[in-house]
Amino acid sequence: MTRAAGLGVRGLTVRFGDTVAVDAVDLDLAPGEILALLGASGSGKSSLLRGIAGLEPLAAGSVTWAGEEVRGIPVHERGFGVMFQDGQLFPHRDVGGNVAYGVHRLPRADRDRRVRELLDLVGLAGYEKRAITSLSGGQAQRVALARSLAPHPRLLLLDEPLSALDRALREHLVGVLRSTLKATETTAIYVTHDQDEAFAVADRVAVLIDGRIARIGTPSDVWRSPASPAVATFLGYATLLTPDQARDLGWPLDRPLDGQVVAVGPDGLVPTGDARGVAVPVLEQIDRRGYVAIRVTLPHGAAAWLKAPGRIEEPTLRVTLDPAHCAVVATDA
Amino acid sequence: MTADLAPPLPATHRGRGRRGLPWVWRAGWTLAAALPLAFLAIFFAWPVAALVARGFGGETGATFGAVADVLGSARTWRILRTTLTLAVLGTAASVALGIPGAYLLYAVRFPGRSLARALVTVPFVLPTVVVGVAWVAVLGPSGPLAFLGWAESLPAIILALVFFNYAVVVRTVGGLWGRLDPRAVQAARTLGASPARAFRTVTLPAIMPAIASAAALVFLFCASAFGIIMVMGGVHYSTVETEIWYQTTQLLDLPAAAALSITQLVVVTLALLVTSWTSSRHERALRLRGDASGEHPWTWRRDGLATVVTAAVGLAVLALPMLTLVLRSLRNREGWTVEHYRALGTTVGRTLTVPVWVALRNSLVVAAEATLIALALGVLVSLVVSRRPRGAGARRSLRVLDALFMLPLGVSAVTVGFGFLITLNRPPLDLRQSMILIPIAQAIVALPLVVRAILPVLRAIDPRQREAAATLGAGTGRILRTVDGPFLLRGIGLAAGFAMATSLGEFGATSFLARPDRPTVPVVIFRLIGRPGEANFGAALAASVLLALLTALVMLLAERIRPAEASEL
Repeated sequence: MTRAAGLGVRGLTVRFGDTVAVDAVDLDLAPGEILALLGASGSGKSSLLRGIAGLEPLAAGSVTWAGEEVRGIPVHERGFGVMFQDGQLFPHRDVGGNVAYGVHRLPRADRDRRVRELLDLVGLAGYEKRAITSLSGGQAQRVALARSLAPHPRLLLLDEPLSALDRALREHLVGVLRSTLKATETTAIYVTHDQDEAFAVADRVAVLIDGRIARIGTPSDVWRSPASPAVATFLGYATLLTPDQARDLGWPLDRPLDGQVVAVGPDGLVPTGDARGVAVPVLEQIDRRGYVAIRVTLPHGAAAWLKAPGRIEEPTLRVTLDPAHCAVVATDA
Repeated sequence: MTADLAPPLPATHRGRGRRGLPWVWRAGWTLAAALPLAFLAIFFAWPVAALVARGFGGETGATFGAVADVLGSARTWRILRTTLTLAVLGTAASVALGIPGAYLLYAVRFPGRSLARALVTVPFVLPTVVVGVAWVAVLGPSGPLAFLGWAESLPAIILALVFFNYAVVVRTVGGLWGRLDPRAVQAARTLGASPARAFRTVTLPAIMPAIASAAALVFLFCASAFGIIMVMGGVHYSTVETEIWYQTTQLLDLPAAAALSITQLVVVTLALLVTSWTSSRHERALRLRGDASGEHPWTWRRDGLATVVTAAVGLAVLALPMLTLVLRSLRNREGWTVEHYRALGTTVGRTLTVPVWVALRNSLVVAAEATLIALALGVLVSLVVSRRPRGAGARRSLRVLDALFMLPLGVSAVTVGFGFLITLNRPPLDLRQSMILIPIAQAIVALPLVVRAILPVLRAIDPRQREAAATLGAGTGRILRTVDGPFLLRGIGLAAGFAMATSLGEFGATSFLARPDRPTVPVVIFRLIGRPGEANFGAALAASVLLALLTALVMLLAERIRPAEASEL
């Protein structure tokens, strides 16, 4: 079912010696779409990216663009751009020289215009003559983005482009990245281990576990139905409950659970504030920005966190499940 | 797509035929490896192999006669013992004195440090003959340390070996020490380790590979020292190296000389194996280094001892001979004079066949040719060896290639010169009459240093830089030009300096190959010092100062364009 346009990946496998880093991955990407490839470190997400770019030899599988096989085409003729984790700007060239690297065949005036255009786009207008060493980490990554976009890659592969930056900058640049990719209608695969980043940047999210795609879909679909306990846990559902445990905590009877488990999200366990729910002992309270995180022991003995507007004075708290913030997933077996 | 931002895809994206056909590049890389290999085979392997064959009999068929004769003589064993004694003591002293120096000049920050580093490096590139003459001036009659009575003695030679090799230890060990992540020691200290225990358990294991590799290298240099022993050894001390020269040029006993060369090859190959083993561990260790610099500002309490030791070595071992050389070259029995320098325009009472300034011109011409040859080959070798192929077989071939071009470091220059003499003076290659043999021999000697200067710079390039260039549409050629090129240019300055300095001072091979009417400066100096008389010694001193200044100038220029990545020497 190769699509007429865009990227098609079939059975892509990358091996390092006896280790299988990417295990027969299938993937389709429509033109202009941004896909976030989300996975823990060691899940094979960077290897998959490098395999698509042609930087890592494939043990098996095929990569097509618009239905045409690109596997035999050398890296530099694929038209697939890569933005590296640490930018990999060329230290011997200034900012303008770096951005112009991929468009050196254009006439000088066009080239200068293209550089200006892209620096403008990433918010670094007028930085052409600046030395690479004079840039901050965030600026360097923006130059790297401009550089990789300059030659109009038909596909841009971003390998954890923001992971070396601090959190506030990351949250800001994620916005810059998405708006830039959308403004240039760039088809992109964005590799990250950060769930928030993936959800903020992508049209679709693919969760990679042990070299296989465990779940793929729009951010809200993936979040609402993670499909497996492993994906749910990776996405931040902290507690998994059996049907009995869930019913003990007030899971509505009109939602039958046959053999499935309930994954409790960050807001899935809530204090009732009245006589409803189950009384659970409070173990620990931590002040967070805007709320208090409370650790409690659930009836079956496991610990769980929940949020409350202020500190609790009593030794116990009545809690219940909020199905809107829980996911029902089939067990792995 | 929006019109202003996205014009049609460039032609390269449309899956049209391959530009830069892969086989062209494969052929190119093969040629880049084959050319230096052919050069090494003709001008190094062949002469050395011919020499080995000569040792095992030659015309009358294979026999172990010559080797057995040489190994049976008491003289050989005495010479071998002297060689090993000098090499072991010279290495031990260089390492013991060099470690505090490495610490002070690389792990401690103080004003004037770069000047101190440069000054310490000068002796390493000084012509060995000059080093010998300088120490003769210090310890010989009417020298400042004449009262020690060390002229033509074991301690004198060892001092000269330390003078020459101190920089090798300081630079090799210091280069690693200065880049150690200080947080490892800090972690040890916070776990309750005293400074001494932290040094013993954290710093020392970290720098040990560098110490071992420096020691092996120094051992190599000491075991194959020629100029120093020729000038300072007198009649009491001869080493395998000088004995080869003596047997060849004085007794004309080629089989005996060949047998000695073989003995030396064995010793030196063993040392080289240790070097390559330790330096591969060294490289592993370097990769582990943190970004944080291991430097800290100078304090008397922590750095006092290292400072005192280093200052003592700097003054007594490094500065004293150089100053003595300069001062003595400006004096005669009556007082201050420039007559020794004026004598350089003459044949010094017909001791020489040509005036010294003519020899200087010869030296410069030869050095320029040798530098060009060594650079051309060294760049090719470095480019090939710095590739990172995926196949295990290809990677192994590159390691072998790397090791092959280090071999000339281990095989003595005398052996090379002698080998040239017996192979390249008759068909198919009769180059004896053309002056090109000397620069070729010197290029062979300089090649390992050139590769060691360029290769680390190329290896320091993050492979993802090349990947980034490729994803931006650059083919193999453009990657080579735009990513490797700028780094190559930075390493080439230092490489040229090393090559030029090596060539200017080269004595071992040149002493075999220089025609009497076309001597180089080291050959002239050796001839002058071998003749009695104040005028000859004075002229030798003046010529040594001139050669030292020239060499120092070359290295100073090279250091100015020296990259931060440093060389392995």
